[in-house]
Amino acid sequence: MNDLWNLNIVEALSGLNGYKFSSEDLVRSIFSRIDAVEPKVSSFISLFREDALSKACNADTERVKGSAKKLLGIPYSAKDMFNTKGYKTTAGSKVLENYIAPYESTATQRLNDEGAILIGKTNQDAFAHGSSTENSDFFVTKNPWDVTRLPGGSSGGSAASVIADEAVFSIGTETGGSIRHPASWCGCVGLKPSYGRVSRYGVISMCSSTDSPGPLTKTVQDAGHILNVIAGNDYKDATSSDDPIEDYAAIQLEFLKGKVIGVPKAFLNYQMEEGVKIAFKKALLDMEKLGAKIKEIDLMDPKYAVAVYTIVQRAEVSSNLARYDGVRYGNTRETFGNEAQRRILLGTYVLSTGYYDKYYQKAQKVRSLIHQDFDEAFKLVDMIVSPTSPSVALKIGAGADQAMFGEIMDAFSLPASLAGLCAISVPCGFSENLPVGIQFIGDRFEEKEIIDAAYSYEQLNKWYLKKPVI
Amino acid sequence: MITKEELKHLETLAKLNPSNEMQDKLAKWLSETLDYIEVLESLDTSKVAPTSRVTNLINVFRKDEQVEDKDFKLAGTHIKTSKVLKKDPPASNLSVQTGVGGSLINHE
Repeated sequence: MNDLWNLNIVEALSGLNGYKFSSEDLVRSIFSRIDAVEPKVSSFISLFREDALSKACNADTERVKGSAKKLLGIPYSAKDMFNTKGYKTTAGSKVLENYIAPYESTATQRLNDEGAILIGKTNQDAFAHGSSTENSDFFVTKNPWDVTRLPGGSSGGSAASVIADEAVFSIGTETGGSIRHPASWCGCVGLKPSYGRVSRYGVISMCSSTDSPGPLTKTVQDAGHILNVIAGNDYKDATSSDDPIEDYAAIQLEFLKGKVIGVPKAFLNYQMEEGVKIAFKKALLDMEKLGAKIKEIDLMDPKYAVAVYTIVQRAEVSSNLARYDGVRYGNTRETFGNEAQRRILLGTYVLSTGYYDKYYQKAQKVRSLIHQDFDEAFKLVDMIVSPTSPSVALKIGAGADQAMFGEIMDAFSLPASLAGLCAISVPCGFSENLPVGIQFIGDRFEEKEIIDAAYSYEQLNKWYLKKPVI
Repeated sequence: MITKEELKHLETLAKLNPSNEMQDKLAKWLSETLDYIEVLESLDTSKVAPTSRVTNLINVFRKDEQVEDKDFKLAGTHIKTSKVLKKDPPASNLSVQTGVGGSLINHE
């Protein structure tokens, strides 16, 4: 009973529904794991032990009565970017250090409605600015594979909590790579749904034209289970799509057989670590073994996406962070950390008189080119794959004081984000005992395709069975 | 390159007031970033329309009907706050400008 913490969603649900253990057992086990590893990993900004245990007891009672809730009694962690009613919601920033959310985000509401139990809020780069979780105003989360290294980011606490078995799953947010990147560095699965697939209501705004909430899980099928719950139109978010949702957990087996998979040449020519390249090339061979046809394609050099994202994201940040005026949330603008200040200032610059056309307008035009570039590519291939990040987890301190560290680390994930596509990162091996991630990029609202493809690939090597020793 | 004057102007617009030590770093960081994004100049976008949305949604409306919202059910409740205006303000001659005809009203 003591190692229930290492279960994934499918295993935990099967055990709970078969009355092999109770939700209370599961939650107690998770907290015993947290007590053991949290001092080394530091995934959480806040933990709700008492509340979680009492919800678990209620879930056990409900189960006996025959509840049909899809995630009844499953403990999860949420990035501190989600408003969670009655709980502190900091966005990793001192500006919101004492902010207790008066309402619930749609994504967490839907999880709670299906019986999932929030156990704590995870660390992140402040306001999700970064790809390391080093920019948290509170502390640095460590990579469970090597605690001298970064977990990636900005949903670094979420990824670390999943791979360290401190939560059965986590929910994060992505703007340019913030789910996929830490999933890659921590060796878990990270799904970034298409823009508009999951409601942004109640997610602290960063870059409103790309923000996408999504799951970080131990397996691909688990990600499908969570997407089933959180996806779908929401009247509270006018940009959420009414595109019909499918059953993402009902996996189609042998999906890769006969599929045409595009590999962008420009991505392969981009600067990346040798270990990442080797693991990725091995993955391509594996997919060929599974019956996929690999096709090299022309996509724009990721450096353009990096530049476009830098402009668009800074512009939206400067406008979204204007609401922290010192009146509504208590702390003044002096409280912003270095990274937030520098993003606000650059955003202010690219939107200011005389520079709007040169920078912001130009970036939105090139963004259209990136969009068209993908549209053309999807006429030739079913989906696109690439390494998720050009490197494995870097040492703590690597990103400090670099103006564009996050963007360079996100070079492979930014293009899909700017075009509103869906993508999933899964482990594709190890380089010097650190996980490497591969991403499957699909067309808008084709989550089903990439989940099925990622599942087929995942089952060949089952990298998820390898766990870090913490 | 961003000059000190430009940086000051941006700080005023953004209502930020970084320390002197930060000022030098900021100028360096911002200049580095601006150098990088120059790469876009090499692309011809004369015939391209700027992106305004990525999912082809146009004019989203919802039905004009009342929706129950348990988070914000405030009817029949009242909110207690601490005192906002106090007597005997500090000696700094606290005054509040109101929009009425530009007249100045002193709240004590």
